[in-house]
Amino acid sequence: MPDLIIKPTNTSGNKLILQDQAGGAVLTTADSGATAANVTLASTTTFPAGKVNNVFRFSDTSTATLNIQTATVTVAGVFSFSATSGRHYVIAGSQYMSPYRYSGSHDRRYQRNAIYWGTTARTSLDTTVDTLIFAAWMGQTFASGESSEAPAFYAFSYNGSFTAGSTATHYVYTAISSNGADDRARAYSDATYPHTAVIFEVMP
Amino acid sequence: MTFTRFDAMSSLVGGQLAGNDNGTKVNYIDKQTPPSDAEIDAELKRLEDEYKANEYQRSRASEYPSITDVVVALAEKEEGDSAMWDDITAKRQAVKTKYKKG
Repeated sequence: MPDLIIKPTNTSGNKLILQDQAGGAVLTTADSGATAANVTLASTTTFPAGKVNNVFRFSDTSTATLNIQTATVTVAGVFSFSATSGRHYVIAGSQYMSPYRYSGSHDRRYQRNAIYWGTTARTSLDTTVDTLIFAAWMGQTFASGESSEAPAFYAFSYNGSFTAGSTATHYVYTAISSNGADDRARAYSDATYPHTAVIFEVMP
Repeated sequence: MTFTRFDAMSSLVGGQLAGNDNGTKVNYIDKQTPPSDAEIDAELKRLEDEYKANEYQRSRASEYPSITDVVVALAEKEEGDSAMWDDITAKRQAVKTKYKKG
Protein backbone atom coordinates (compact mmCIF):
# COMPACT_ATOMS: atom_id res chain seq x y z
CA MET A 1 0.00 0.00 0.00
CA PRO A 2 1.44 3.38 -0.88
CA ASP A 3 1.91 6.09 1.76
CA LEU A 4 -1.27 7.88 2.83
CA ILE A 5 -0.60 11.59 2.97
CA ILE A 6 -3.03 14.12 4.48
CA LYS A 7 -1.89 17.65 3.91
CA PRO A 8 -3.47 21.13 3.96
CA THR A 9 -3.40 23.20 0.81
CA ASN A 10 -0.04 24.74 0.28
CA THR A 11 -0.84 28.24 1.59
CA SER A 12 0.90 29.74 4.60
CA GLY A 13 -1.17 29.41 7.76
CA ASN A 14 -3.26 26.48 6.62
CA LYS A 15 -3.33 23.67 9.15
CA LEU A 16 -4.29 20.08 9.50
CA ILE A 17 -6.08 19.76 12.84
CA LEU A 18 -6.80 16.42 14.50
CA GLN A 19 -9.44 16.74 17.22
CA ASP A 20 -10.63 14.51 20.06
CA GLN A 21 -14.34 13.82 20.66
CA ALA A 22 -14.68 16.99 22.73
CA GLY A 23 -13.45 19.06 19.84
CA GLY A 24 -10.06 19.75 21.36
CA ALA A 25 -7.10 19.85 19.00
CA VAL A 26 -4.67 17.09 19.82
CA LEU A 27 -2.47 17.53 16.74
CA THR A 28 -2.14 20.77 14.85
CA THR A 29 0.26 21.19 11.97
CA ALA A 30 2.12 24.42 11.29
CA ASP A 31 3.72 25.51 8.04
CA SER A 32 6.55 23.33 9.22
CA GLY A 33 6.17 20.78 12.01
CA ALA A 34 3.24 20.24 14.35
CA THR A 35 2.05 20.74 17.93
CA ALA A 36 0.63 17.88 20.01
CA ALA A 37 -1.58 18.77 22.96
CA ASN A 38 -3.25 16.89 25.80
CA VAL A 39 -1.50 13.71 24.71
CA THR A 40 -0.60 10.82 26.98
CA LEU A 41 2.45 8.88 25.90
CA ALA A 42 2.41 5.12 26.42
CA SER A 43 5.12 3.60 28.61
CA THR A 44 6.40 1.78 25.54
CA THR A 45 7.16 5.07 23.79
CA THR A 46 10.75 5.26 22.59
CA PHE A 47 12.53 8.43 23.61
CA PRO A 48 15.76 9.75 22.13
CA ALA A 49 19.09 8.91 23.73
CA GLY A 50 20.14 11.35 26.43
CA LYS A 51 16.61 12.34 27.43
CA VAL A 52 16.04 12.42 31.18
CA ASN A 53 13.16 10.02 31.60
CA ASN A 54 12.68 10.12 35.35
CA VAL A 55 14.04 11.81 38.45
CA PHE A 56 14.21 10.06 41.81
CA ARG A 57 14.61 12.36 44.80
CA PHE A 58 15.65 11.17 48.24
CA SER A 59 16.04 12.64 51.71
CA ASP A 60 16.91 10.27 54.54
CA THR A 61 16.15 11.64 57.99
CA SER A 62 15.57 8.37 59.81
CA THR A 63 18.75 6.29 59.71
CA ALA A 64 20.15 8.50 62.50
CA THR A 65 23.80 9.04 63.22
CA LEU A 66 26.10 6.10 62.63
CA ASN A 67 29.43 5.61 64.36
CA ILE A 68 31.92 3.52 62.41
CA GLN A 69 34.96 2.41 64.43
CA THR A 70 36.26 -0.15 62.00
CA ALA A 71 38.32 -0.50 58.87
CA THR A 72 35.56 -2.73 57.54
CA VAL A 73 33.56 -0.90 54.87
CA THR A 74 30.14 -0.34 56.43
CA VAL A 75 26.94 0.77 54.72
CA ALA A 76 25.82 4.19 55.95
CA GLY A 77 22.80 5.33 53.93
CA VAL A 78 20.71 3.49 51.34
CA PHE A 79 18.36 4.72 48.61
CA SER A 80 16.35 2.29 46.47
CA PHE A 81 14.38 2.79 43.27
CA SER A 82 12.97 0.88 40.29
CA ALA A 83 15.47 0.83 37.43
CA THR A 84 15.02 -0.31 33.85
CA SER A 85 17.55 -2.48 32.07
CA GLY A 86 19.84 -0.59 29.73
CA ARG A 87 19.05 2.87 31.07
CA HIS A 88 21.67 5.08 32.63
CA TYR A 89 21.40 6.44 36.16
CA VAL A 90 23.22 9.61 37.13
CA ILE A 91 23.62 10.15 40.87
CA ALA A 92 24.30 13.28 42.88
CA GLY A 93 24.11 13.34 46.66
CA SER A 94 25.45 14.78 49.89
CA GLN A 95 25.94 13.43 53.39
CA TYR A 96 27.40 15.10 56.46
CA MET A 97 30.46 13.27 57.80
CA SER A 98 32.68 13.80 60.82
CA PRO A 99 35.87 11.84 61.55
CA TYR A 100 37.54 12.10 64.95
CA ARG A 101 39.74 10.34 67.45
CA TYR A 102 37.93 7.85 69.65
CA SER A 103 40.79 6.58 71.82
CA GLY A 104 44.54 6.84 72.18
CA SER A 105 46.82 9.49 70.78
CA HIS A 106 47.37 9.58 67.04
CA ASP A 107 47.57 11.95 64.09
CA ARG A 108 44.62 10.58 62.06
CA ARG A 109 41.41 12.54 61.65
CA TYR A 110 40.08 11.08 58.44
CA GLN A 111 37.70 8.50 57.08
CA ARG A 112 37.00 6.72 53.79
CA ASN A 113 33.73 7.54 52.03
CA ALA A 114 32.37 5.66 49.04
CA ILE A 115 29.23 5.12 46.99
CA TYR A 116 28.12 1.79 45.59
CA TRP A 117 25.24 0.39 43.58
CA GLY A 118 23.70 -3.04 43.28
CA THR A 119 20.52 -5.05 43.06
CA THR A 120 20.79 -6.77 46.43
CA ALA A 121 18.86 -5.13 49.25
CA ARG A 122 21.21 -3.33 51.64
CA THR A 123 20.58 -1.60 54.95
CA SER A 124 22.71 0.60 57.17
CA LEU A 125 25.55 -1.18 58.99
CA ASP A 126 25.73 -3.98 56.41
CA THR A 127 29.33 -4.93 55.74
CA THR A 128 28.79 -6.48 52.33
CA VAL A 129 28.89 -4.05 49.43
CA ASP A 130 28.37 -4.30 45.68
CA THR A 131 29.77 -2.30 42.76
CA LEU A 132 31.96 0.65 43.66
CA ILE A 133 31.20 3.95 41.92
CA PHE A 134 33.48 6.34 43.79
CA ALA A 135 35.65 6.39 46.89
CA ALA A 136 37.92 8.90 48.61
CA TRP A 137 39.51 9.57 51.94
CA MET A 138 38.35 12.71 53.69
CA GLY A 139 40.04 14.51 56.54
CA GLN A 140 43.50 15.48 57.66
CA THR A 141 46.70 14.31 59.31
CA PHE A 142 48.18 16.25 62.20
CA ALA A 143 51.88 17.01 62.51
CA SER A 144 52.04 14.72 65.55
CA GLY A 145 49.88 12.53 67.73
CA GLU A 146 47.05 14.28 69.53
CA SER A 147 44.87 12.79 72.27
CA SER A 148 41.95 15.18 71.98
CA GLU A 149 38.95 14.23 69.85
CA ALA A 150 39.68 17.09 67.42
CA PRO A 151 36.73 16.25 65.18
CA ALA A 152 36.62 17.41 61.59
CA PHE A 153 33.39 18.27 59.76
CA TYR A 154 32.73 17.71 56.08
CA ALA A 155 30.02 17.37 53.48
CA PHE A 156 30.58 14.25 51.39
CA SER A 157 29.23 15.50 48.08
CA TYR A 158 29.26 12.64 45.65
CA ASN A 159 28.28 11.93 42.08
CA GLY A 160 28.59 9.06 39.63
CA SER A 161 26.63 6.90 37.24
CA PHE A 162 25.91 3.33 36.24
CA THR A 163 23.87 1.49 33.63
CA ALA A 164 21.24 -0.91 34.89
CA GLY A 165 21.78 -4.49 33.78
CA SER A 166 18.29 -5.59 34.71
CA THR A 167 14.82 -4.24 35.34
CA ALA A 168 14.61 -4.45 39.10
CA THR A 169 14.86 -2.53 42.33
CA HIS A 170 18.32 -1.04 42.51
CA TYR A 171 20.18 0.25 45.56
CA VAL A 172 22.55 3.19 45.70
CA TYR A 173 24.30 3.72 49.01
CA THR A 174 27.14 5.36 50.88
CA ALA A 175 29.57 3.22 52.83
CA ILE A 176 32.31 4.43 55.14
CA SER A 177 35.18 3.13 57.19
CA SER A 178 37.74 4.49 59.61
CA ASN A 179 41.27 3.33 60.35
CA GLY A 180 40.10 1.01 63.07
CA ALA A 181 38.97 0.90 66.67
CA ASP A 182 40.81 4.07 67.72
CA ASP A 183 39.22 6.22 65.02
CA ARG A 184 35.56 7.06 64.69
CA ALA A 185 33.83 8.04 61.47
CA ARG A 186 30.36 9.50 61.83
CA ALA A 187 27.71 9.62 59.10
CA TYR A 188 24.56 11.67 59.64
CA SER A 189 21.04 11.01 58.34
CA ASP A 190 18.58 12.78 60.58
CA ALA A 191 16.15 15.68 60.55
CA THR A 192 18.88 18.20 61.31
CA TYR A 193 21.40 16.76 58.87
CA PRO A 194 19.53 14.78 56.20
CA HIS A 195 21.32 12.61 53.69
CA THR A 196 20.04 13.64 50.28
CA ALA A 197 20.42 12.40 46.73
CA VAL A 198 18.91 12.88 43.30
CA ILE A 199 19.09 10.13 40.67
CA PHE A 200 18.38 10.94 37.04
CA GLU A 201 17.24 8.18 34.72
CA VAL A 202 18.68 8.82 31.25
CA MET A 203 17.65 7.07 28.06
CA PRO A 204 20.39 5.03 26.35
CA MET B 1 29.75 16.71 76.17
CA THR B 2 26.93 14.20 75.80
CA PHE B 3 27.77 10.54 75.85
CA THR B 4 25.66 8.11 73.85
CA ARG B 5 24.78 4.52 74.56
CA PHE B 6 27.06 3.62 71.67
CA ASP B 7 29.91 5.39 73.50
CA ALA B 8 29.24 3.26 76.56
CA MET B 9 29.05 0.06 74.52
CA SER B 10 32.29 0.91 72.75
CA SER B 11 33.99 1.69 76.04
CA LEU B 12 32.85 -1.63 77.48
CA VAL B 13 33.71 -3.98 74.63
CA GLY B 14 36.64 -2.23 72.91
CA GLY B 15 37.81 -3.14 69.45
CA GLN B 16 36.09 -2.51 66.15
CA LEU B 17 32.37 -1.92 66.03
CA ALA B 18 29.77 0.18 64.26
CA GLY B 19 26.34 1.33 65.30
CA ASN B 20 23.85 4.10 65.83
CA ASP B 21 24.00 6.56 68.71
CA ASN B 22 21.28 4.95 70.81
CA GLY B 23 22.83 1.51 70.45
CA THR B 24 19.75 -0.20 69.07
CA LYS B 25 21.67 -1.47 66.06
CA VAL B 26 25.32 -2.39 66.53
CA ASN B 27 27.76 -4.55 64.56
CA TYR B 28 30.42 -6.14 66.73
CA ILE B 29 33.08 -6.48 64.06
CA ASP B 30 35.53 -8.25 66.36
CA LYS B 31 32.84 -10.65 67.62
CA GLN B 32 32.76 -9.00 71.05
CA THR B 33 30.15 -10.11 73.56
CA PRO B 34 27.36 -7.49 73.63
CA PRO B 35 26.99 -5.87 77.06
CA SER B 36 23.72 -5.97 78.96
CA ASP B 37 21.48 -2.93 79.33
CA ALA B 38 22.48 -2.67 83.00
CA GLU B 39 26.16 -2.69 82.08
CA ILE B 40 25.57 -0.02 79.45
CA ASP B 41 23.64 2.18 81.89
CA ALA B 42 26.39 1.84 84.50
CA GLU B 43 29.13 2.61 81.98
CA LEU B 44 27.23 5.62 80.69
CA LYS B 45 27.05 6.99 84.23
CA ARG B 46 30.76 6.25 84.80
CA LEU B 47 31.75 8.10 81.61
CA GLU B 48 29.62 11.11 82.54
CA ASP B 49 30.95 11.18 86.11
CA GLU B 50 34.54 10.88 84.89
CA TYR B 51 34.02 13.69 82.41
CA LYS B 52 32.58 15.98 85.08
CA ALA B 53 35.40 15.09 87.48
CA ASN B 54 37.97 16.13 84.89
CA GLU B 55 36.32 19.45 84.16
CA TYR B 56 39.06 21.33 86.04
CA GLN B 57 41.76 19.75 83.84
CA ARG B 58 40.09 20.91 80.64
CA SER B 59 39.58 24.41 82.05
CA ARG B 60 43.19 24.67 83.22
CA ALA B 61 44.57 23.33 79.94
CA SER B 62 42.87 26.05 77.93
CA GLU B 63 44.34 28.85 80.08
CA TYR B 64 47.83 27.57 80.92
CA PRO B 65 50.76 29.28 79.19
CA SER B 66 51.66 27.60 75.93
CA ILE B 67 54.29 24.89 75.70
CA THR B 68 56.37 27.22 73.55
CA ASP B 69 56.31 29.91 76.25
CA VAL B 70 57.28 27.37 78.89
CA VAL B 71 60.21 26.11 76.81
CA VAL B 72 61.46 29.63 76.09
CA ALA B 73 61.12 30.58 79.76
CA LEU B 74 63.05 27.47 80.79
CA ALA B 75 65.82 28.24 78.32
CA GLU B 76 66.08 31.84 79.50
CA LYS B 77 66.19 30.70 83.11
CA GLU B 78 69.06 28.35 82.26
CA GLU B 79 70.77 31.30 80.66
CA GLY B 80 70.41 33.31 83.86
CA ASP B 81 67.20 35.29 83.33
CA SER B 82 64.35 33.84 85.41
CA ALA B 83 61.86 36.70 84.91
CA MET B 84 59.79 34.88 82.28
CA TRP B 85 59.89 31.64 84.26
CA ASP B 86 58.63 33.40 87.40
CA ASP B 87 55.84 34.99 85.36
CA ILE B 88 54.78 31.66 83.94
CA THR B 89 54.83 30.03 87.36
CA ALA B 90 52.61 32.81 88.70
CA LYS B 91 50.19 32.41 85.80
CA ARG B 92 49.98 28.67 86.36
CA GLN B 93 49.26 29.11 90.04
CA ALA B 94 46.55 31.64 89.25
CA VAL B 95 44.90 29.19 86.86
CA LYS B 96 45.07 26.43 89.46
CA THR B 97 43.46 28.70 92.01
CA LYS B 98 40.76 29.68 89.52
CA TYR B 99 39.93 26.05 88.65
CA LYS B 100 40.33 24.00 91.79
CA LYS B 101 40.72 20.24 91.58
CA GLY B 102 37.66 18.15 92.33
